[in-house]
Amino acid sequence: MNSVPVPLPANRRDTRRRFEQWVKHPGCGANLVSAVHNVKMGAVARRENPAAPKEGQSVFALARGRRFEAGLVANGGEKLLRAMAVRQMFAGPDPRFLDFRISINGGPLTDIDDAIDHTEDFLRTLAAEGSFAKGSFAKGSFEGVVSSATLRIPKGVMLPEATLIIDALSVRLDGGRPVVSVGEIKTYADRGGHTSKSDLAHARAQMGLYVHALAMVLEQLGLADLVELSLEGFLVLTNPGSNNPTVRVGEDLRYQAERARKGFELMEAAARDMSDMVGDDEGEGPKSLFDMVLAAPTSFADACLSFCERAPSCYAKAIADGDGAALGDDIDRFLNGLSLHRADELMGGARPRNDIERDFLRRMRNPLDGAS
Amino acid sequence: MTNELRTIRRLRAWHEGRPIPRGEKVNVHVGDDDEILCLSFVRMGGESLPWAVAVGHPHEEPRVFGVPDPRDRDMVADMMVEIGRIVLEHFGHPTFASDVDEAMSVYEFRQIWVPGISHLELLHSVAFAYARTTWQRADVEVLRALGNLANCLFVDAQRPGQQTVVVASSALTTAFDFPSSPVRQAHLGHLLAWMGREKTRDSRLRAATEAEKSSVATTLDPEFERTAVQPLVERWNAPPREQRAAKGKRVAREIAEVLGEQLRHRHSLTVKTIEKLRKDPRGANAGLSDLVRIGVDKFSRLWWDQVLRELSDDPEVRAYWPGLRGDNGARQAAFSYQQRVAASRQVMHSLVHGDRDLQEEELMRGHGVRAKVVAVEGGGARWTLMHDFPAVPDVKVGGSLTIAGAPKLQLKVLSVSVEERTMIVIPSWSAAKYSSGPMAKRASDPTWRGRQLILIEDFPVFFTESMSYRINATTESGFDILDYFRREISSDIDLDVDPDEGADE
Repeated sequence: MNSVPVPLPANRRDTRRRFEQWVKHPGCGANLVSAVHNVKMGAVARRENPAAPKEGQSVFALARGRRFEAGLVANGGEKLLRAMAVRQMFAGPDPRFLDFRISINGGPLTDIDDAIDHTEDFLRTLAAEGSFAKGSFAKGSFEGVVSSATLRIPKGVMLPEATLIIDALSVRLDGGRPVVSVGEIKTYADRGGHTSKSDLAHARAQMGLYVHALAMVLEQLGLADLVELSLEGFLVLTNPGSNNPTVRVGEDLRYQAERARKGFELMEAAARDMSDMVGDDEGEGPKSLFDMVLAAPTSFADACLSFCERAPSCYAKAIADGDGAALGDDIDRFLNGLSLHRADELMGGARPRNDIERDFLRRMRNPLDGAS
Repeated sequence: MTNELRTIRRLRAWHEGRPIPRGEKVNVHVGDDDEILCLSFVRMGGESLPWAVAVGHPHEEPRVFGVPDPRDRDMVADMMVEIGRIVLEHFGHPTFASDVDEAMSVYEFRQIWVPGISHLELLHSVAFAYARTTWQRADVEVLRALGNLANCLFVDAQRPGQQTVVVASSALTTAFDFPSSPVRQAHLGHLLAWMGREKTRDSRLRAATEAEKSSVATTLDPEFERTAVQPLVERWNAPPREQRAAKGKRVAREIAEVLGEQLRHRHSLTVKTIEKLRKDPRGANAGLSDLVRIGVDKFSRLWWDQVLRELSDDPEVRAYWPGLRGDNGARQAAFSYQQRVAASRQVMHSLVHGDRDLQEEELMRGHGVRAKVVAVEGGGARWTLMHDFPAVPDVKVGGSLTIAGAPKLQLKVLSVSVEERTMIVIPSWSAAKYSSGPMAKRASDPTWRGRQLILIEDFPVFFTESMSYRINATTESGFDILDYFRREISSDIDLDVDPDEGADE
């Protein structure tokens, strides 16, 4: 497909969501088209089947998340700074707070462009001589945290460009040199070694993406040698049963950042021949975008259940088509190209027609021999 | 390898159109009604403490407790005090026994059944909230006792083979192989629907898919929560806080009804699971009694002994409650790891002899060998075996193997020939061991010849367990490899010299 003019404003907020959506199942064509063109699968699912159930998040959970984040940044980030200081995240005794949230999120900045400008100014000032452009700190003196630092990834990394908002960006002075590290705020409880592994993996993946994006932006701004980017992030979670924050430091993000780098490359390669059209911030768009997602081939897998609203219809299709993945990814591999229908026939006594079918029956009849 | 076995069984289950039994016996202990307390929770999205709780023995209607808005910590604490009294009494906590004459003098076996893993995790959140609380409020000692018990239950639930905390969905997947993806098998309603009365695979699949639409986790379905509960919660919160209890009686009742229905659904699924397992014609594995006995001992040390210490009048005696956050540091983690290795092998040791399907799983895991007796020599002092699975057995000379199904019949490995697929072993018995059932024969009995046996690695459970204590007490990290890397290597060691050379000098 050739590039066509962008008919809608480029998506500005959900870059991370789109990337993470694609990463969860890169093998599904519809997932790729949906992520690249920013068409929410929920909307596609309801176009496919108006009765499709809405997934979404709990209204109470969303409200609590907003309340928790607002509480952290209230009064000059008092709670957040205190929780970070407890973990000795700053060298000096008086860490400071900058709020780059935009007005619709309760912050002082007008819009995303304003937030991006402030973030870039901030990074330049961290590196450069003199005082901060807005007059709030001098070089080498800032140590603290920035709420909602906003990055615009250079064009071409994700179609047509992409924006990321980092929940918390901390700056620590190491011998006068600023070291920045990314942080993610989550509402779930920190239960020590028993904190949900999948929740933590998800948060670390997000932070890895931020590290990669920040590295690109620092490179683009020519600041990579002046501002040190830490490969260790931090998580701000809640104490179980309370709204008090708890900070987990030392989250190793090396591999997650590399995953993000490779993921972007692969996504770009997969999307190279697609149009530049993108949906709006709500994941809606022109009818043709929905048609593109609906027309793209799907590939049902276990992962679909955790994130895709079309999973029920794809599952039904997989059952109807005899796709082994309907019973699990391992069944799909075990069948080695056979359909569930044919496997059923063979288990019911049908004569095998080829080596694959003979091998299947041998492994089914005597698992130990198959393994040995 | 074991996973492949389960993949194969899942395909068989699909072909049959219904769940198929996993194993010859049921390998989950189901206590008596009085021993079992079923707990189900519902929590508000984003919150970590319960919104409502259903609690009851399997044979009775559950008691349902709830609060209109769980963001009010005082109301939740009031509710948890009531729940706490019931749960603590069930476990025989001396302070909460309803009848002093019937109070336990030693810990007796008790079980908690929960519908799914998220309910177990909520117990851990309850522990975090209350086990170490310094809250100044009425009945705080009940909350603290509940928190400590909840933490001990959560900690014990991590120990392989424990039978004190049972997650109903896991119990079913231990007993059956289901014709659906493992990802779906965490849903108790889905599993039970596959076991329903529908006649065909298609109708069972439809029922299972339909059942999945109702949440059985601790959270409500987000759409249901938004449409059915959020408006009620908003109504409850409309008056100023101090007036809510007086003005909100009706809406509180409505919230309780909605949540109660959700909880009763979860509770009924747990009870159905218990009934299914009890009615299973296979019967329970005899080895489960060992696991229950071990479990009583472990949980007694973990919880009951600490309760007694806490109640002691002696100021020198202090309770040692397990930490809330898991293993702190390599030493603790290594200790726990070794304990769990020992526990998981104990499970196999206890169960494998009573279940041939488990023996097959052990073979697939590489913990045994299938072999035929080809010679009985020296009056039974020496056997020659020819093995056919696996091709290269993980058996060491000097090691010990047990004949599956007859735990007292052990064989010491004298030599192994991988090329000829033969092993020479020394039977540890000579006279017939009558507790070994059909295999109660002298080692010299000629009928052993030609017999195919499954031989299970005789893992030294007690040795591993005692080693974990010893290492934990004597090394820096509790894990030898970490110590090795920390150890400074002397630079004058000539690495080309065999360190054994000159040892006799």
